[in-house]
Amino acid sequence: MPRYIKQFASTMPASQRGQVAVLLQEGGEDGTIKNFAQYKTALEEYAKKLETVAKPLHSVVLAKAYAMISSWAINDMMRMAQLDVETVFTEVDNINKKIDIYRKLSHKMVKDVRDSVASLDMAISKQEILNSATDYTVVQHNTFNTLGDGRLYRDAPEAGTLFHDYRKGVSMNSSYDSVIDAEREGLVLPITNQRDAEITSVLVDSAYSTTSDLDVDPADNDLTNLLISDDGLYWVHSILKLATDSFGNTFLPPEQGVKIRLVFYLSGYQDINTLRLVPFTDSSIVIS
Amino acid sequence: MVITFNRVRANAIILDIVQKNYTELVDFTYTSQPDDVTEIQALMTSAGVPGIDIGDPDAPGPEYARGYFYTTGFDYVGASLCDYADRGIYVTAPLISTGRISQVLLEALYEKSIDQLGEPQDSLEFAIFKYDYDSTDGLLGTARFAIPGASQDHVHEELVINGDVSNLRFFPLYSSVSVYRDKTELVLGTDYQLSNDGLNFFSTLATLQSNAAAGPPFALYVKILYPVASSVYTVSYTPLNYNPNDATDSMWLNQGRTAELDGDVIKFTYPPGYDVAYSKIFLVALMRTLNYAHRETPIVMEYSLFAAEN
Repeated sequence: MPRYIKQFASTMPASQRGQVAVLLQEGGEDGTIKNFAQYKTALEEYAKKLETVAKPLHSVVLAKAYAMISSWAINDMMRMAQLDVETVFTEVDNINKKIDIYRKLSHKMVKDVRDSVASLDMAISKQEILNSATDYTVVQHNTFNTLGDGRLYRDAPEAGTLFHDYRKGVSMNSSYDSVIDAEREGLVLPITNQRDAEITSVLVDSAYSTTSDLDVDPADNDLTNLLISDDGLYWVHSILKLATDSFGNTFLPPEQGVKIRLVFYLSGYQDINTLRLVPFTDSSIVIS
Repeated sequence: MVITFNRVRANAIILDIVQKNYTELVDFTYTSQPDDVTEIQALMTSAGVPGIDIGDPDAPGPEYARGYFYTTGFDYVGASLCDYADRGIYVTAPLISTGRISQVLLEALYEKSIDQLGEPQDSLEFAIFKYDYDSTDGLLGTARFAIPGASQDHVHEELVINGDVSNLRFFPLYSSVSVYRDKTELVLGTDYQLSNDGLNFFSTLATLQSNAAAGPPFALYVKILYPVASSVYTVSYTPLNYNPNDATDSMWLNQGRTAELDGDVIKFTYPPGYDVAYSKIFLVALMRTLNYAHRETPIVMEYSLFAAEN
């Protein structure tokens, strides 16, 4: 039986296995399941209902109109509901984890691709630079892209002499190391403090946005999803421009693309100098 | 994606987004309760939104549509205020020559942050360190030279004042020198004096030139007559062009006259007996903020450091 159960269990999520196990145990306790044949039948029945997708065991609850429902039926319904809700919560949690894993994986893949492209670009640029500067035989070139930054590290033998502000006459310890901002692909001063501005509300300014010909708003598309990162919640704005209308007129896609204006209201006037955006789209976009 | 900009005070942020990429939908049937939304569902799912709710309950009947489907989305949008250190240093891994280096050139691409008046909020200084070695890897000597990276190096270069005296990183055309206190131009003779030996200071360019000390190395010193500790002093100037036929215009960078600045190029010569087999060149980029109240950051996008051998 353990082998049979193990084989069965491998076909469904752990949360549902737990749910089935509870039902089988209760069947044994209340006498519904008395032997292996009945156990196997019950197991197969549950498995058939569940397959590998999280869904309620009892999708339909029969209720008799104008009649009193028994406490047994109430308890049974509540028990089923509890198991189903627990299953759903577990599965939703799993889905969020999977989405986060996929996102991290895709970020890594994007970074790897960028590194490869940057490496190729660097090699080509270096050769082009040398070809155009015929007076020179060696060149060092750095675009501060996602590659290794090409800096001298402080454990190098020459570091003691080099990390020095000779005009002020003072050494500069590692807290003064300028940093490579991989996203901006540039060398910047070290950041000593970052204060996030509080965004209180977000809206799409329809007066400055392209109107969709058909309503293609996704369900549960909440703009406030933009305000928390890495929570597995996103905001997607879709626009469908018709190519043919009901009169038979045909249209080309807008030459300048479609426009969306997002307005973020802060909690009063605040000083800001940095925007951090995490786009979630398969296509390139232009932001101004 | 991080977008930095000069500090602003605002109560709202407006993002204008343009999306030009679309998916063309063909033979898409649209009804009040669409039977066939597979295509859109697939698109939305790929965009990370499972399940859609489309349809007009009041629509009289099915509509046949062909269209262009655009999607734009974000996971996160945030705004912040970043403070930066007052200085930053970056030293490159060495550029190693296989012979004696005859000249070095730097081409840097960078942006300074600017305030609302368009004035720079920071300065950048480049220097090279040259380590010379003999054929047995013995260190013969080291030297440090300021090197130009771009023309904007000399716009509001910070005057690092020791006591009340500072000096320019490159020798200037006298007539091009402007000294500033907190971006307000000062008056020669009233607010500051000039010297090219660091000892004898003059209040007019005429007396400075008539009493010019012989180089090398050539340097121009600035004495602030009434220094204010909380102020930032800067200088803008044009470096003097090298003229090999005029000894007074010579841009020798060291006392031994083995390194000179010719335009933007540092050229090296070697005295007899100084048998250099190879050299290491380290580039140092030093960033300084000019606004201690609201520190921003310059950004160096790229540089190319060239060396020629002979």
